[in-house]
Amino acid sequence: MRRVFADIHAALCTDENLSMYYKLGYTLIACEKFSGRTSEMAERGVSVVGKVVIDASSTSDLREALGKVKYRESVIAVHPESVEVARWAAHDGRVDVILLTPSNIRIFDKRQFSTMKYYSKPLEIRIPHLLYSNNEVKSYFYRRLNMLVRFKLGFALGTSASSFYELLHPLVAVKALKTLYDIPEKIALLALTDIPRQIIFRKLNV
Amino acid sequence: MVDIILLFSIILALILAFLIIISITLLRFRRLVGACIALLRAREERSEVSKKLRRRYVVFTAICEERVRFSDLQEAVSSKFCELFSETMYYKASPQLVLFDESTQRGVYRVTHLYLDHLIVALGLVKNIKGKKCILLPLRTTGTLKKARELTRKLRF
Repeated sequence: MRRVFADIHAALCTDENLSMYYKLGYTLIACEKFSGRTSEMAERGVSVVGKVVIDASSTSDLREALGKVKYRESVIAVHPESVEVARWAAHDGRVDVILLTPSNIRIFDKRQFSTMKYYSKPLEIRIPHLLYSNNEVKSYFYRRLNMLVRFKLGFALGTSASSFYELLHPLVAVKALKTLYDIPEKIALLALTDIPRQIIFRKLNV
Repeated sequence: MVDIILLFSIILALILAFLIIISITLLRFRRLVGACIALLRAREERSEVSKKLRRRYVVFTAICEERVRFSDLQEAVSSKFCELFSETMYYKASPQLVLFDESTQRGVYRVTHLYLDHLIVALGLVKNIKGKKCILLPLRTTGTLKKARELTRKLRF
């Protein structure tokens, strides 16, 4: 298998997880928590960068949080809890991705997507939310994802795996998006390869 | 009198010319309709040919806390398939666990080519078998069982 995959969100990076990531074809990973040194991880063939998720309900909270984080070294994801925050995050250069979860899915509408497209800000979606949510949430995701495809807006998929058994084969993720959400295979593949790779590479080269 | 005859003959000639033109266009139109029908028939025949079901063999490996058995694995995959894609699709896809080596924890699933993606998803989303944590990883897909058997031995992971 060609090692071209990248994971925009891993909850925990242990040695065991990383070796499995490598076997599955991942080479770039954004980790929320580490257990080990990043240089050792790079020797395994997997490059790892830090990941910070900012939950914000107001723009002042967001600005304050962004002032504290090292946005040049780690991938910054904003989890907006209001429309204002979502709009602000879309045009802030320090923010790398905007997180879409079942709790804030109603915020994302055509206007939000067009703003994100204008500032070329990708969306982050976590695979467990797509696969293990209830039917109502899945239907929301279906509509939003197809809207994303219509808008030609990029999105990145994160496994959010904290253990070895939570990992998902990239091929399975692509086929799942194709069969369960009617997303074209090429776009699903981009969400696991090119888009997260670009974001993580920016942080590695600093 | 001569003028009237001339006028009459001109009108007659015009009518004749008109009729000839109409008949030619009708003939052409008929040919066009015929060509369209032939094209549609050809397409139907082609689609009938593509409807022929082909078998696909998916080579996979199981990584589990403890070794899993053939029957447990089959049950887990079929229940996952039904959960995700409904029972109707399960009958149509008819996935069958052709072989599973319990010592190496590798096996081969057979499915019709139309539902290959569905089987890969169902395989990949199995997370536990009989209460044991487990992941199933699809390795390769082939068109013959012979090659699939070879791959179960040769493929590295």
